Amino acid sequence: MVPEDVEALLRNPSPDDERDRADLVAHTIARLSYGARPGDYARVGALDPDPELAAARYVNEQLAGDRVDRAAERAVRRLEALSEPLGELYEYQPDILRQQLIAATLLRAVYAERQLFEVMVGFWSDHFNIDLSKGDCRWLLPAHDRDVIRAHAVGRFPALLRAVVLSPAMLWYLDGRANRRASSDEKPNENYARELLELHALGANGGYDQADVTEVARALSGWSVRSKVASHFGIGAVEFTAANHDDGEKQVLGHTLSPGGGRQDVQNVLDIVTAHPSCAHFIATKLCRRFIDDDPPLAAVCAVTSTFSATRGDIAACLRTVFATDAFRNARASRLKRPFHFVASALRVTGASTDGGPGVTQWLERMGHRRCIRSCCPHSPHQRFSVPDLGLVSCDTRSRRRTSTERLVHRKIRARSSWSSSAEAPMG
Amino acid sequence: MVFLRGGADGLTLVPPIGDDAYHRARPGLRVTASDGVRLTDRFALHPQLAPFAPLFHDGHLEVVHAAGSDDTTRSHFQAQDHMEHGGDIAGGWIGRFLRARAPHPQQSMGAIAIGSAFPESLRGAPSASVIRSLDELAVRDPLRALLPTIAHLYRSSPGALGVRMGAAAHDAIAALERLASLRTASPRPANGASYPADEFGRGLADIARLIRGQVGLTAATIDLNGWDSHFAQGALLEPLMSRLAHGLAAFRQDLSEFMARTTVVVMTEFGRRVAENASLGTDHGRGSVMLVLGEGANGGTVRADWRGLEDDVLEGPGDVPVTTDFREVLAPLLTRHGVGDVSRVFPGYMATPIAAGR
Repeated sequence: MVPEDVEALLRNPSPDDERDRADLVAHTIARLSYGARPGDYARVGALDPDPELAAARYVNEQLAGDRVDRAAERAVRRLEALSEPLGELYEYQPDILRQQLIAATLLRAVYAERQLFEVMVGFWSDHFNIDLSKGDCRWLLPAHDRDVIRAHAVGRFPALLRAVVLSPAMLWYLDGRANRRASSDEKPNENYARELLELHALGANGGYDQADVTEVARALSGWSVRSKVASHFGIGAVEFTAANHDDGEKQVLGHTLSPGGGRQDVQNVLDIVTAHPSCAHFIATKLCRRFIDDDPPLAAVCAVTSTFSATRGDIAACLRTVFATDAFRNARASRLKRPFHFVASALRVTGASTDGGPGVTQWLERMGHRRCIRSCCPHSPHQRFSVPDLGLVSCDTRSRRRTSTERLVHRKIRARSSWSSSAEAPMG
Repeated sequence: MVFLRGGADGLTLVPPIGDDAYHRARPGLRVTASDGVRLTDRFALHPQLAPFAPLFHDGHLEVVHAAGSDDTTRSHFQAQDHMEHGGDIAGGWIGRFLRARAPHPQQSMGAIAIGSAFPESLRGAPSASVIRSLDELAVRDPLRALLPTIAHLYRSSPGALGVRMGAAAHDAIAALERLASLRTASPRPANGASYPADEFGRGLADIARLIRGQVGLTAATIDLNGWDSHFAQGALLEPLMSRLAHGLAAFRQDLSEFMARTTVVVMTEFGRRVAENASLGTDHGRGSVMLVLGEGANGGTVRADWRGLEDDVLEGPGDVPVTTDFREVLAPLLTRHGVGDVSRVFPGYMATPIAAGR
């Protein structure tokens, strides 16, 4: 049984609520990154004597341009699948691709200087979740990660969404490639149309109904992916087959798409959807949840919604607005880290070096993180981070976190291993 | 409570082989009258659910058809939440069930969820644990030795957080202790039961072990995922149905006499469109199937206010209308399991059939 003194300690914790509240610099680093590394706090603090300005300069630094992240590139340079053209990915064993993708995600989280960029890659990967065990996703996901998510992670939301809609991996994952309507007898496959509206752009209760789902499915019909079975050439290429497209008139969210739109129907639908007020509100809310709180104050959500609308979905501009809100600056209460964040930040804070091999990924899996493995449906809306939901953390999770942290400290987790001859361990 | 996540196609699980409209709407996907395992003149089991047939005919298994909720969003998440919350209210219905049974003593192993995430249905439970497997959990000696240190760490956490963390840690440690004592008590399935060697089968075996070990388990949830069959659904659903049927048949055999006070309910967030789509799949619909096994089941019957599948009875874009609300099925079961006032579990729900054709 639990010793009595332990029980007493657990039941009567210290009442000091204010202690350990992070200062603004520490708070900003913690929220924008996968955790501070030794020296980060001092470096950012030295950017300006005023903590307010120092934090602001850190935000600017994180959002600055498209400069190459040399540390991240060095960390992943031996993971050759990451740079393969789409069709070449089919030459790999799916397991190798999966290992390299997981290793790359972890290495970038641990070593990248542009931490906020990597955090946003994780954010969009969750938002546009794909399970790599479905169909050709196992080959297509590395290209999706690179050409869709990373290419647009802090760009413009409409461009990101278009890339997602026409991503070969997404066309596989949500059955868009099977959505055809060559004759009026055929029923379109509604899977992607519904998730586009509900999960990707407008949110549940976003002002659409079943008729909009059906009409969007018609508008998106005819797009497919050249499959391994059907062809030896151009595998993975996305193509539009006019004969499989329903070219009649459509009504989407109160707008009319004229007949004969053909391949333009996709863009027309996306223009309607991304200009819809629910889209700005939906994305703004998710950003505020990620960076502020599970229940962000309305004022913050409104500010970000306005920025989204005014800039037509400029993601970096929305982030600047998030970080400028009082709600963000004051949201310094502790939050729970999801397993990936927990592991990445443990490696960062201890200054450990890692090659992203099985020593670490097995640790992640034991804690319940299985990247790209579908749990039940495309995406769970119940991701929550803040402490009031602690009841949702299983005893299983808690005991795993304790034992794994203990093991890391006692060097029983091999953050580096010899799993792959080609994955040279990067220097921090 | 077994939740089939993704929206399981009731017309595939229990096809209405006696309806012409069914065969017309599903030219590529239908179960023929000769393939189906006959239950009644109208309904049959899918051949992959054949292990259910003896349970049905021996009076242990009840089938409810055209069952579902009054949530018409056809969204996985909203429909699942609605069903797990027991209506448009906060908190889960199993959580309220556990509270309504008070003053029965609540223990740290009073409610468990098999899996990696806390299900909505258990929200608000006095105490509940999420475990992936009994065998993976252990309080090892090094951890035990660390307990005072851990407790001290929680104590030095700031106020409200510290209290929550402390209570949570206490629950976790108590649950681990109970599990450790159970580990040696009743490891093997009883009565020659043989579970499928998959995650679902292992989860059911663990639940049975906790029931046989009499650790005070009152409610357990387990999911069988992957029913979202938009594309080529035959290949997707057949293995799932096989796992479901073999798993639950083994569970019943394993528990034997304990089944006299155990009820298994199988439910899903919605059924699928009646007409198949152009990719041999089906899109999100409304009414589906619920199963009740064990104590309280009106075994050997297919309960359905069945109005056929002709166009004029279908709901919305062509879906099976929901004629039996899931709460109508659950309410009498809750009464049998010690809830005096069912409105405490389903507040505001009037036990009347909901209107068809909405």
